[in-house]
Amino acid sequence: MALLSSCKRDGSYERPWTRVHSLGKGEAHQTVRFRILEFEYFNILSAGAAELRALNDLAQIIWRKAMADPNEVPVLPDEILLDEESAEDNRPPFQPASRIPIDPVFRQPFVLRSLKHGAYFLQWKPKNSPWTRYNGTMRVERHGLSTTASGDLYTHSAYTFTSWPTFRIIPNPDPSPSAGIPIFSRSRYRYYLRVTQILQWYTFGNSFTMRFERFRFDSTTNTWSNEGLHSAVMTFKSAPAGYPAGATYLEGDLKSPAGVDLGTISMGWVSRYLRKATIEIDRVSASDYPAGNGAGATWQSVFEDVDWDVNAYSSDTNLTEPSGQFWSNAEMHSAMLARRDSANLDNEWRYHLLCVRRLDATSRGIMYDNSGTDSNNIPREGAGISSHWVIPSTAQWGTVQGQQFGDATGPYFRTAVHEIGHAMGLYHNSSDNGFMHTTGQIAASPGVFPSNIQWSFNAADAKRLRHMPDPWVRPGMIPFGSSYSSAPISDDEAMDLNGPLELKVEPLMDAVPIGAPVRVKVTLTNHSDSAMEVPDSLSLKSEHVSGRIVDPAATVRGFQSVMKCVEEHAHEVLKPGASMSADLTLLRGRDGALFPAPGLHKIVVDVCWEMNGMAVKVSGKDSVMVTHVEDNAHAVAAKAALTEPDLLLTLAIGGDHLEEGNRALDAAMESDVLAPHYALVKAKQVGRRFGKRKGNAVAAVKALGNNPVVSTSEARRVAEMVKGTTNAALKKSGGSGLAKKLKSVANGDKMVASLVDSMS
Amino acid sequence: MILAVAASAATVFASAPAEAHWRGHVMDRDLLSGVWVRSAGEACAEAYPERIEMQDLGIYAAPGAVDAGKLWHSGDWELEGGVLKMQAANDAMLPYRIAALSGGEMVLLDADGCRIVYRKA
Repeated sequence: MALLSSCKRDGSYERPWTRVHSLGKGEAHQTVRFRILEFEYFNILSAGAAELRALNDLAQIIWRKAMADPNEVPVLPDEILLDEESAEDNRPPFQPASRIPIDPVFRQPFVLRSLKHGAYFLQWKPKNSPWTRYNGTMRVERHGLSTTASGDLYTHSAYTFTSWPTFRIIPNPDPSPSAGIPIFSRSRYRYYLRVTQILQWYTFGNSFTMRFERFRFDSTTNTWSNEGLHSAVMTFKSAPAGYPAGATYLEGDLKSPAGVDLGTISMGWVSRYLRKATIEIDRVSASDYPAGNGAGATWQSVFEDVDWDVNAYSSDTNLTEPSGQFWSNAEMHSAMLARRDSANLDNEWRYHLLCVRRLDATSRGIMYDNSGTDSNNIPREGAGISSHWVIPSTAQWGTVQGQQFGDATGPYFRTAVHEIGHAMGLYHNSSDNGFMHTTGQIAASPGVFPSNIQWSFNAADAKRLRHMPDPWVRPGMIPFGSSYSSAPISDDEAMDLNGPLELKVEPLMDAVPIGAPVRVKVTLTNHSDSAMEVPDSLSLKSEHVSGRIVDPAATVRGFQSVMKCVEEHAHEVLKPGASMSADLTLLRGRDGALFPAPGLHKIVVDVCWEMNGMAVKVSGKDSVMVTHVEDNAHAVAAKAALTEPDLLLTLAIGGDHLEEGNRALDAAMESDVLAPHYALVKAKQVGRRFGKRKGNAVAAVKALGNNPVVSTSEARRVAEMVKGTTNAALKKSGGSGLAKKLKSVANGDKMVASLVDSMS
Repeated sequence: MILAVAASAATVFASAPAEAHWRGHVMDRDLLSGVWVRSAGEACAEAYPERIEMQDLGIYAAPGAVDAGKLWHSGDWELEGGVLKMQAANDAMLPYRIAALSGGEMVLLDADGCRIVYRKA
């Protein structure tokens, strides 16, 4: 993406610094202000390091021009401070503390802020509850242009009361942020936070809205209950003492779904990893230590890929075989209890791996500690692998057939990771040849075993390791075997098909007045050489379509269908070069009005569906400018439109029964500014039958006025609606302005052309 | 649903009918290969996938079984006399006595005596 590119509709762009030299100082100053702070805002947000350096260069040029004659232009000023990035952060590097002069209107220095990837110490201090607070971790995963986040909270008693004879109150300290990712007692687990909104990329502001669904955990039934969407405006602050240098730290007031103040919530960065664990590996002397695959993959590297800080180490190497080379599950469990170096799962996440010659229950490996019905009733602590199983001498086993398993370095290590994966709550995954696929299936798959092993976790499993609730992945909590669907988890990412497919997002108008709905045409085109299965509709009613609006303050508001799933949604085949399109009308989302303030709004539309059992997604984006209130009537109408939730239902389904929504619609129609934008909605409302009331085509045409905002497909719907109405009635009700407008959008549609003729 | 996959092979063998009953039988692996769909039956059989695809290489897949929290997801199968071993979710090879097997129907008995009926798709 080009930084500072002009937002031309034809897709071209220009690099404005190429013409800055020819501008006067005032013009240049206005140019940089205009471009940096308004129109180019979102390009900056998604720019790469080179492009930000170009921004710096541009600003330096402007600054030098301005400083040449300080009397001629406003004093250029303050600075944009690009947030200092951690050297460990693998996002595009930014120049720290780059100084960019900027308009004096903005007196505060601008800081380009972002959330660091990693684990944050999370703390919620409930209002009016000085004795109890909730401590936990927030995991912020930065990937590409987006962020996935989740958190867990555990109760924390702020004080301990000693009993007679001392009766003292002793404060219980919070975990030290300098110690990295904190570990909490399992019995104190309370909440999983499924983050639905968070700062996605960068912001010039000092705060952003974070929203999350709070799931309460019932440890007696291992079930979750959703306590609704909570929110907090999180503000960047200086990290208190104890945090790592340069740590991102935020605070905000937590609001319940009903908007009740629940106290303060804070989060401070403590580690570039999301989770940490220890894997202790004990073995009998004859068994091999599974250190890695012999080609670079080790415990550390494998888990580094999923943002786990894993300390795997070889401990005892002289375990005694209780009954010959074969070990039962009970014998392995007993050996784990007897020989592991530490047993406090409330202080660390410790998994135990036992390497023995042979296993009773299976050939290669087993996560024997599944149900917690063993001697210590604690599930998912340990697994075992077999070093002396002999790989069958059949072709499917490729280059390792006939080998003793421990000598087949790669497959042996893979099985060890696979079993620990089970201990971390993962199940088999046949989507690829990653760690959680079964060895036998991989051997039977195309390619030569073991070179066809994929040395990573499948993306879905990687996400589970990063974002499944703590009780699911940490040892000693939820038993192995519960369905994945029983656990909350942050939104899935689907495979990105942008490239072979393109989703073009085109607002019907470049600018709309505040309070108006935004009409967007979305077009899906297949640029690949093969036919692709796609949703049969791009309408918001199809449930395949969702998206988000990013306002000028970088607040993200999501939207999706207001219609519930009432039937199976069919797919259709999109041939190479073919396109399909639909019109979307955007007004409100789950977080309220989508365009609540003047300024440039970025529109991102996602289309998600399943293709051959895999979740796939294609996205497109554009922007629309929302203009200021123009007069008093507009202000009244805009207020009604922006605050009435039922107006969305009036837009989506119409009907006379939505009294509040219809009142807001009528208020909008009272404003000369908003009326053209709502005219079609009003026309559909009166033109269609509702209950015993008949549709009134003449009233519908009258409602459209002279210059309604309509697309080609909407014009056709108007034509269909008034079909059968006499020419005389149409002439009487519709003005020449309307006929002219419909003609301009007819785009060859015969039915619309016929309507225009009838009105002329 | 919590899966009961703790049973060891030894335990199950002990509860299986006398092995002599099966002596002399040679199960045809070809009969096991193919797509099997579970028939409505005992409630205990709900722990098993609706559909399994068994290949003669000794591997099987049960589409959708992970999300449904079933006992078998995918993995190996082995035939030992009259006992079919299936790789369970935690990699244990769980044994099932084959009570009946024909080209069109397979009846398995698990360690607890639960009767699981599959029919060829």
